[in-house]
Amino acid sequence: MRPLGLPASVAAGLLVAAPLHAQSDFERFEVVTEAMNALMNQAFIQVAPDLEGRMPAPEWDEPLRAAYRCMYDGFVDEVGEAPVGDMITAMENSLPDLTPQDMLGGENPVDNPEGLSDERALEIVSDCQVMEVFEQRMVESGAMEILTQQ
Amino acid sequence: MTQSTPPGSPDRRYAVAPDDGDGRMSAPAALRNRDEIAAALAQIAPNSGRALEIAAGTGEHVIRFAASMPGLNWQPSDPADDRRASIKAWIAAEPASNIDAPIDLDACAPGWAAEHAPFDLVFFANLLHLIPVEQAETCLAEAAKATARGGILAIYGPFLRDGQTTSDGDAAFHARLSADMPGAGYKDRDWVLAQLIQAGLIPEPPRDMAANNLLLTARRAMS
Repeated sequence: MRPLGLPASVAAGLLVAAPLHAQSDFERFEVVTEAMNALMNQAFIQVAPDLEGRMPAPEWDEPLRAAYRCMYDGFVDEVGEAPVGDMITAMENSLPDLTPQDMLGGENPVDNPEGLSDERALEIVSDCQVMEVFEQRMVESGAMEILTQQ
Repeated sequence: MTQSTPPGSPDRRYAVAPDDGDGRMSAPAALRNRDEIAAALAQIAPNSGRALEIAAGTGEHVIRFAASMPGLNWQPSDPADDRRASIKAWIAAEPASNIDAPIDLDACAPGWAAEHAPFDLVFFANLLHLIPVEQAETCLAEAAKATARGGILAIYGPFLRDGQTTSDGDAAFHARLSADMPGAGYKDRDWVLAQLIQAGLIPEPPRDMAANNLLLTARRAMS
């Protein structure tokens, strides 16, 4: 699925540095989602070059961190830490083979944590306002204006 | 006529569609807007391929769309038995070789896109404001997933702009919907587009339509 409300979701190895110290699962989650955000940005700029410099930064800001924290905690509350950690590992493993084009393909590179249904995952994403934060970042960066007026 | 509302389907009290006796229902709004929508879709639709109409309702839309876009093979869908019966009745009354029998599809339920082959055009009208936010998110995610590479997703209806309604009438309707069902009511244009972007679609400029409605479209890149 493309659960997490993660952009086309889960993927992109290019920017993932090898961890130099032990990371928590949430820190790994941050690294992998930022890499995927970067890939997603590349994908959109390839299709709409006017977006160059206008896509939201791939790095988490505080609103995005809060939304993802809420989502991560929601997933852990539902199924426990191990399945969520496994999902993050799957995300990391998918990165090296992912291309920007893959981000626009609609396929789901990674499944939900084991035991978490699509329906419940979507509820958690919705409750945590992940999409609202994403929308706000697209508006603030100017990307939404470009996409709706090009 | 009254009817029960299947789980996950929009509350149809706002789209009264009496059966005139032969199974064909008629929705005044659909009759008013279908020519304008058909003309707009014809400009952006692929020349050939498969088209899915979600929540096809009475069937008055798909009859017109099939005639306007003869190169597309149309698949109407609706979760309500009486609506699918109406669609069948309209197809019987106005036969077209490029319309398939309606399928039972609840677009607000997760997972349906994976069970259907991708479509070159996915369309729905006047749905998002009738359902809660969470169902709208699911519907948009699944509709995007059902859109083939190179295909287009088109969504017609009323939307907020920058969080605001655009007329007193829209404000009153939005307030009534929101009061009747938590989370229902008009969705913001940019919120909808953000959902589509997250799903990997590339939005196109929204088209202004009659009665303050919009036609939102987004494409999936070819490769």
